[in-house]
Amino acid sequence: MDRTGADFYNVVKMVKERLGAPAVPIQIPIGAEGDFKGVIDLVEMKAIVYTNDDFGKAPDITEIPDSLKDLADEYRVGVVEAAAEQSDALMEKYLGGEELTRDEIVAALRQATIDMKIYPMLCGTAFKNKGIQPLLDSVIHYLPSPVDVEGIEGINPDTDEANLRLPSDSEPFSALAFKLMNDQHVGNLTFFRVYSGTITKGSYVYNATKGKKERISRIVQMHANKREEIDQVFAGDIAAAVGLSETTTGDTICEEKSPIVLESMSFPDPVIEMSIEPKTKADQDKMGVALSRLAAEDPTFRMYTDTETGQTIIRGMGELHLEIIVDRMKREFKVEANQGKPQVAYRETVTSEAKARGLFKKQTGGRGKFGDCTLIVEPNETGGGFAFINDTVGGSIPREYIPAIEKGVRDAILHGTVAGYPVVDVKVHVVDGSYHDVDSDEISFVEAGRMAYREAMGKAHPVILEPIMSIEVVTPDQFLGDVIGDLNRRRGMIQGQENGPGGTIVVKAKVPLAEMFSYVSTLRSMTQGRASSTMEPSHYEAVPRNVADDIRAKQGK
Amino acid sequence: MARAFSLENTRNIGIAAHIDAGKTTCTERILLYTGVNYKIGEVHEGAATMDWMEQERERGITITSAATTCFWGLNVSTDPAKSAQGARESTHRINIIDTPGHSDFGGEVERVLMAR
Repeated sequence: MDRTGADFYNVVKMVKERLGAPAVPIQIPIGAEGDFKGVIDLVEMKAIVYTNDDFGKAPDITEIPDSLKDLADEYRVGVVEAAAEQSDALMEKYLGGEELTRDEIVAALRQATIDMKIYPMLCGTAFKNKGIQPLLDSVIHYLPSPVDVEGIEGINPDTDEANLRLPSDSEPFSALAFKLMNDQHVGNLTFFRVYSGTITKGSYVYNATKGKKERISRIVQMHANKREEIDQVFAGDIAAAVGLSETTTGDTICEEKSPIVLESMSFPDPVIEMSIEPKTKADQDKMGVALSRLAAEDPTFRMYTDTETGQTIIRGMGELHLEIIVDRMKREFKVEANQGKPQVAYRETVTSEAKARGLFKKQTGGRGKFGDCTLIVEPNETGGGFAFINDTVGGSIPREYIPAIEKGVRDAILHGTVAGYPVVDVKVHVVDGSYHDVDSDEISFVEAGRMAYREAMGKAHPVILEPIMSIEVVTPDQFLGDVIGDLNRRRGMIQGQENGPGGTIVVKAKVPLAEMFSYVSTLRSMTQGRASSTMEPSHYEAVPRNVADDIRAKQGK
Repeated sequence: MARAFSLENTRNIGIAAHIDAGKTTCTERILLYTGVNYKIGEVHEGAATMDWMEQERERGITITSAATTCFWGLNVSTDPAKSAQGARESTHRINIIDTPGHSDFGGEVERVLMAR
C-alpha cells in the first residue's frame, strides 16, 4: 500500500475481473501511498493503526475514524453477505434482519475459503511494517490446516489402483519430495511434504516412483539455510531429509508395505540455451560434476553435449537463469568457464505427412550389410512429443529389427533436417521393408531407419519452431507510441492495452524470444527508466520464412 | 516423541506474487513479529534471512524457494513485557515457503505449489 499509485479498491476490482476470482475484501486501508496508516478490520469493525516507532510490533486497536465509517459500513455488507451465502440458516438469519455474530462470520468465511468459494483480501505494506499481524491472524482464521482438506490421492504401483491417504499420523507414511538442495556440510538435502503418517530419523523409506529403498539418516527442520535437527516428522509437516541419494524432485517416498505414488509435477521446457567451455583441463573435470549437481537441484535447468560440435550446452528458462547457474558454478564449485552468447532454443517439426524408404545396402563380396524400411512421418499433436509405431504386416521386417529402426529414428530426430535443431511432436510409422537372411543385422536397420527418417522429414514440410513470450509492459502514457512501435519492430503481436495504476498504460503482447535479448535496457533508455516489463514463456510457433532462412544461414545449413 | 502442535493448529503456506511485490519482505516481517528473528532483515540491504544465497543478497532477488517455520496465536502473550512488544501466545505452527518472483525461476514456484 505504500507504493505510488497504490489503490486497494482498483486491485479488488482487477482480481475479480482479470482472475475471475470471487474476492472478498475483509479489510479496507486507512490512507494510501505515503499516508497509509493501517487497516480497518471489517469482521471486528475496528481500526488497526500503526503509529508507534517500533517496527510495527504493537499497533493500536482503535475505533474506526469518522471519515471512513460510511465506506467501512459499505464494505462490511460484502463480508456479511459472503458469510450468509454459505448456509441457509445464516441466510435466513441475515434476511430476517438479524445481525450475524462475529464467530458465525469467521466460521462461515473459513469454510468458504477452504471450499475455494471466496478469496479473502487484505492490504498492507511489509516494507513499512503495516498489516502483517492481521495477515497472520487471517492465516489462522481462514486458511485450511492439513486436516481440513480431504486427503491426497495416489496410485498403488503394485495394483494400479487409486488410493486415498488421509492427513493423519496413524495412516501409513507418505510424502512428496519437492526440492533438492546441495548443502556444503551435509550433502544432499531432500525437501519433502508429509501427507500421511510419521517417520523417524534412521528409518528406511521406499521410493515408490523409482522402486528403491533408501535410508533417511537425519531429518532437519529448515529455516532458510539453517538446519535444526529433529527426530521425527508428522503428517502435514515440511522438512528436509539427509541421506537420500536416488530420490529426485517429484518422487513419492512412503512405507514399503503400503506403497503409493502421488501425483508428480511437470516442468516447462527450457527456451534458451548457451554453450559453455571450461577454461582449463582441471575445470573440465569439475564442470561435469557441478552441472549435474545443479541440474539435480533445478528441474528447469538441463544440459547436453552437442554431438556435432562436442560443446556442452546448458539450457534454461531465461538469460538471468543461465547467468545465475554460471555464477553458482564459479562460486560453489570453483569452476571457471567461458560462456557463449545465449541462444534461443529452437526446435523443428513437420507440418504434413510424407513417406520415404531407407535402403542401406553394402553387398560387395563376403558378408554384407542390408537394411530396408519405409517410414511415414506425420505431425503429432502439440506437446505430444515423439511417437514410434510399428505398422508392418506379414513379417516384412523381422520383429527383432524394429527397435533398431526406432533407434535410428531417435538418433535422427536429435538434429532436424532444416537447421539441425531437435525435432519435437512427430509420429513415425514403420509401414514396410525387407531383409536379407544373411546380411541383415541391427546396425543395418539403425542406418536404414535414420536414412528413411531424414528423407521423409525433408519431404514433410519441416519448419523451425521458436519460443514465443507473453509480455506485459507498464509505461507512462507519453511513451506508449514508442513502446508499441518497438514491439512491432520485434515481430510482436500487440494483444491489448488497458489503464494501469497511476496513469500508466499496460500493453500486452506476444513476442518471439529471439527478438527480446536485452529488451529491458532498451525499454529503460526509451522511456527514461519509467517503464517496466515482465515476460514469461507462452508457446512455440513456426518461424516466418525469412527468419528461418537467417537461422539456417547462421547454422551453416 | 509427540507432536508439539496439533495438526488442526498447523498451517502450510506458500507466498507467491509478482516481481518486487514484497514476498520476501513480508516473510522477514513475519519472522520478526513471531520472534524467530530479533531484528529486521531488509532485502534491499542484502540482509534478508530467507535470501541467504550470495547471489540473492547481491541482487536483492529471490532465486530459490526457502522454507521456514514460525509460531503464532490469536491471543496476546500473558507475559506483560512480551505483550507490549506485540508478542502472542504460540498456539499455531505456520510453515512458510517463500518463492522467487522472476519468471526465469517459475519452476521453483510450481513445485512449492505441488507440495501444498
